[in-house]
Amino acid sequence: MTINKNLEADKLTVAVEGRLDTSTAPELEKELADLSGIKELVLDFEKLEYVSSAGLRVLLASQKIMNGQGKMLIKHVNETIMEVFEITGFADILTIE
Amino acid sequence: MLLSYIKLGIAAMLPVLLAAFITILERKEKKRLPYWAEQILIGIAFGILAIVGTEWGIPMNGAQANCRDAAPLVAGLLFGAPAGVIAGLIGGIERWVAVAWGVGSFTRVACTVSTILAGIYAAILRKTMFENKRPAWTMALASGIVIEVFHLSMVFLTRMDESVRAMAVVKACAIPMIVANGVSVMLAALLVTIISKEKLFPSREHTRVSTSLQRSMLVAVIIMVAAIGYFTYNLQDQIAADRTLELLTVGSADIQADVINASNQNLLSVSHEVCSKIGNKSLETLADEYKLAEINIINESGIIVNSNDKDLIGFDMTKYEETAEFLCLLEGTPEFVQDSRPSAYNGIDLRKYAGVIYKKGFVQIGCNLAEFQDDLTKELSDIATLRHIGEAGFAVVLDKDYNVVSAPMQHFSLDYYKILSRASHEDGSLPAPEEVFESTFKGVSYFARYVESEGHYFLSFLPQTEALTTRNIALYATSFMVIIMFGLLFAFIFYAIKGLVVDPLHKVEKSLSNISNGKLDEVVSVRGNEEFATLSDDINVTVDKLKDYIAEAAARIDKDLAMAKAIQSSALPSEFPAKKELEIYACMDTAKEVGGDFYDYYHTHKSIVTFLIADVSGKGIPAAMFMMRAKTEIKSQIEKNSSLAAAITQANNDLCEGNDNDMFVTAWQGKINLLSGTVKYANAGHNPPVIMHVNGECEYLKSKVNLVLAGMPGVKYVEQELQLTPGDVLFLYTDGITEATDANNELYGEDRLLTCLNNLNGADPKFICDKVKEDVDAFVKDAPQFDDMTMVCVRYNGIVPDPFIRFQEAKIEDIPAITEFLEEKLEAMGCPMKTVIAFNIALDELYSNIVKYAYKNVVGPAKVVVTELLDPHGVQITFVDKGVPYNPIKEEDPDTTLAAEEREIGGLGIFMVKKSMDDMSYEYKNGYNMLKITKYFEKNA
Repeated sequence: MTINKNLEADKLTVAVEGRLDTSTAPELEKELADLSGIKELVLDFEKLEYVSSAGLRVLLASQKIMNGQGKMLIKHVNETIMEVFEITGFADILTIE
Repeated sequence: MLLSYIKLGIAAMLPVLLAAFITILERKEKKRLPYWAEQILIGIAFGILAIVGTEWGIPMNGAQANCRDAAPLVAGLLFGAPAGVIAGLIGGIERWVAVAWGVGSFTRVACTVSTILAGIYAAILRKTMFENKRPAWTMALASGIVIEVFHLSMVFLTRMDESVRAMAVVKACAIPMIVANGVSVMLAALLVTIISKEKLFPSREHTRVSTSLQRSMLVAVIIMVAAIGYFTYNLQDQIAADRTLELLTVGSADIQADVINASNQNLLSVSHEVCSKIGNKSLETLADEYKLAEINIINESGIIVNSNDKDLIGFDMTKYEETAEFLCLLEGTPEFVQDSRPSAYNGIDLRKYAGVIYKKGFVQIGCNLAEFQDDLTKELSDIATLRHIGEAGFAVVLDKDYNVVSAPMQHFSLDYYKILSRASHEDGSLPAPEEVFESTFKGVSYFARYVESEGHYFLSFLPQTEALTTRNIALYATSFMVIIMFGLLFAFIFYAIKGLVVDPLHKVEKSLSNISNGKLDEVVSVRGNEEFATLSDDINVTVDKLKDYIAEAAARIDKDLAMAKAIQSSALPSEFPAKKELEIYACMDTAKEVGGDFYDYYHTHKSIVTFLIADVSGKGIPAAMFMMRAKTEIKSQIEKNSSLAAAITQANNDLCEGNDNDMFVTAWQGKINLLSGTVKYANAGHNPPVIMHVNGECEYLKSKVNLVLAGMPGVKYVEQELQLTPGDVLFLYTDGITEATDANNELYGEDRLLTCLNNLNGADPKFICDKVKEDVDAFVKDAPQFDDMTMVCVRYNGIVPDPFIRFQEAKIEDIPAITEFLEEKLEAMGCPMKTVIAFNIALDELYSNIVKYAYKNVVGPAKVVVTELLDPHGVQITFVDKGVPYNPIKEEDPDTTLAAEEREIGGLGIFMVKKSMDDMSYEYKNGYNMLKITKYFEKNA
C-alpha cells in the first residue's frame, strides 16, 4: 500500500493506493494518528482496491476524531468499497463524495 | 400377268419385313444410334424399297401399278418423321428418273409428287396427329388408303388433257395400288405392334381419348364415303343412261333424216321430170315409164282434174288430212314431199307422194316404195360411214331383209340379224325399235338402238366404255375428292376436339396427378372454354379446402407433437453432473418429432454414477411412449437394487408385463465408481460402446450381450466389469449412428465411427459428440434419416486433490502469500475480478481471525484449501486450524445503524464475509476447525 499525504493549512488530503486490509491498516492508522489542528480531512480512494474490516476500524476512528474538530471527506470510492460501506452501515456514517 | 401380281405383292411385303426387322433390332440392341443417324439410315433403307416398289410395278397403259408409296408411309408413320421424308424423296426422285428406262411417263408428275408427299404426309401425321407415336394399324391402313387415293387423284389432275386415258389408268391401277399399299402399311403396323408386345385391340380403359376419337371418326368417314359413293354412282349412272339414249337417238335420227332427205330428193326430181313431160306423153305412159303408181294433176281449187287412175278424177284433196297437206303448193310452196305411209288401197304397200307446182295448180306423183327401193339403197350405200355416234360409236343401215346397206368398213361383214337376235327378249321377239339394248361383239360392249324408216333399219351403236366414261370419271373423282375431303375434315375435327377437349383433359389430369402426389400448391388453370374453366375453379377450390383441412390437422398434430417432444426432452437429463472425476455429455437427435432413443445418468451413491443409453423398437409416438415407461422402470429398479444385474432383470420382468404391442428396448447401462474407475455394466442387446483409452487406443467393448429388454420375462441379465484409468472415455451410441445411410444406401458403419473416434482422442465429451455428429452428417449429406441418433460420452478423470496452502505457524504476514496463491487459482477458474476481491476480503478477515484468536499464547498451523465447484460453478475455500473450537457463524451480527461514536468495530469482519459469500459453514472435526465459504459465479469467457 502507498499513502500520499498533502497538508494545506488545516486541510489534510491523504491518497491511499492498493489494499486496505489487516496487514496494511496499521500503516494508515499511524499516518492518521495525529490529526490535531486539522479541520478538514480528505481521503482519496481513487487508487484503493478494497477495504477490509481492519481498514474500516481506522476509518471509524478517524471519523470519530474529525467529528469533534471538523469534517472528514472520502473521495473517489469504487464500487467494491462502496458495497462494503453499505453492507456495514458505514455509508451512513462517512461523508462520501 | 399372275407373275406381275406376285412381284407386286412381294414388293408390297418388303416394307413390312423391313419394319419388323428394324423393330426387332431396336428391341435387342440396348445401345441406340444417335437419333438423326438412325433416321437417315431408316430413310435410305425404305427409300430403296420405294424404288423396288416402282420397278416391280405392273406396267399399265403408260403407267405403273405400284406399291412405291408404302415404304415412305411405313418409315414415316412407324419410325419417325425424318425417315419418312427421306424415303419419300428417294422414291419420288427415282420415279421421275425411271422414265429413262421405260417406266411409264404418262403419270410421271403425279407419281413423283405423290410419293414425295407420301413421306411428308406420314411425317406430318406422326408429328401431329399421333403425337410422335406409332399409330394403330387401323390408322395406318386409313393413311395408306388416303395417300393412294390422293396419288390416283393426282393422275386425273395432272392428265386432264387425256381424261379418258387417265380414267383407264386409274381404273386399272386403283384396286391393286390401294390394296397393295394399304395392306402393306397396315401389316407393317400390325407386325411392329405384335413384336413390341403391345395389344392390337387395347381395352377401352387403356385407349386414349384421341385414339378412340380417331377410331370413331374413321368409322364415320368410311360410312360417309360409302354413302356418297353410292349416291354418286346412282346419279351418274342415270345421267350416263340418259346421255347414251340421247346419243343413240340423235345418231339414228340423223341417218334417218339423211335417208328421208335422199328419198325426197329422188321423188322430187322424178316429179319435175314428169311435169316437164305431161304435154308430150299420156299420164299412163309416164306412169309406166317412171314406175309410178299415181300421177295426179290438181287445179287451183284442189280438185284432181286429171290422173292416170281415172277413178281419182274429181277427188277433192281437201277431203282428207294427208291429202290436204299438199294444198300448201297452192299457197306458194314450190314443192312438197310426204313421208312414206301404207297405201290407201291395201294398207300394206308403202306409198310415198310428192308434188310440184304445175300451171295454176300442182302435179302430185305417188310411187310404191318397193318399186323405189333399189334406187334408195344405192343412194344410202355410204351414208353410215359418214356418221358417227358419239366419239367411237357407229351407225349401220340395213334393208328390210336385214342385209347391210351401209356400215363402217370394219363392221360391214357382221351379221346384224344375229346381233339383234342375241339381244332378243326372253319371248324371242327382237328388241323393239327405239329400245336401248346391249350388244357385245369383237370384244367390245355397246349400247345399241334401232329405228325403222323408209323400208330400212337404222342401227346405232355406242361403246359402253364411252357411254360410261363420264360416269366413271365422275364416280372416281367424286369418291377420291370425298376421301381426301373427309381426310382433311378428319384432321380438322380431330384437332378441334383435341384442342377443345383432349388437351385440356390431359392438362387437368396432369395437374390432378401432381395434386395426388402431394403438390397441393398446384393450380389448375385450363381456361379454354367455360366448362373447363369451371372445372378448374372447382378443383382449385377443392384443393384449397383440402389444404386448409390438412393445415389445420397438421397444426394440431404439430402442436401435440411439439408438446410431446418437450415432455420427452425434459424427461432426459440436460444438466450434466459436474464432477471433476467424471464428465458426461449426451445428445439425442430424433428422426421424427419424438423418438424412441433415450439416455439417463444419475448419482446412485455419493461416489457412484449410473449412466445408460437405450433404443426402443420403432419410432415416433409409440416408441416415445414406451421409452418413457422403460426409462422410469429402469431408473426405479436401479435405485431399488444395489446390484445392476438384479435391477435390469427386474426391470425386464416388469417391462414384459402389459407389453401387448411387443415393443422392446436395447439398452447398455453402466455404473461407475468414481473413486476406483471401475464400471459395472449390463448389455441388453445394445451396440457395443467404444472405449477410447487415454493412451490413444480405441476399441469396441466386446462383452456378453443379453436379450433385449421387454423381450422375454425371466431372462437373467449378467453384470460385467470394466476398469477405466483416468482419461479413458466411454462412447455409447444407438444404431441411428452406425446405420445412418447415404444416398447410395451405404451404411455409416462401425469402422467409420471407430476411425472418427480415433482422431478425437483426448477431446472432451461434448466435442467428441459434436464431431461424430458432424462426421455422420457429412457422410449422409441430403439423404433422409429414418432413425434417432443418440450418443452418450463419459470421460473418467480419476480423483484430483484440491490445491491448498499451509503454514506451520499462522501469522498476519502470511496473508499476501495466501492472497497471491488464491488469486492465481481463482484466475485459472475464470473468476470475475469482483468475486476475487470478495474472496480477498474474506481471506483477510478469516485468516486474521485465526491468527489473532485461534491460538491463545501459542502458535499453530493453518491451512487454506481452494475447491472448484462445478455445478453450479463456484469456489469453496476451506480454512482449517487446530485452535480452540470456534464457530464464527454463531456470532451475532453488529448493529450497522448506529452513529460513528456508538459503533463497536468487533464482529464487522465476519459480518462482511457472511454478506459477500453465498454460503458459509462451520465444522469442528478431529480437533480441527473447518470453516467453509462458498461463492458461485459465472466463468469468465
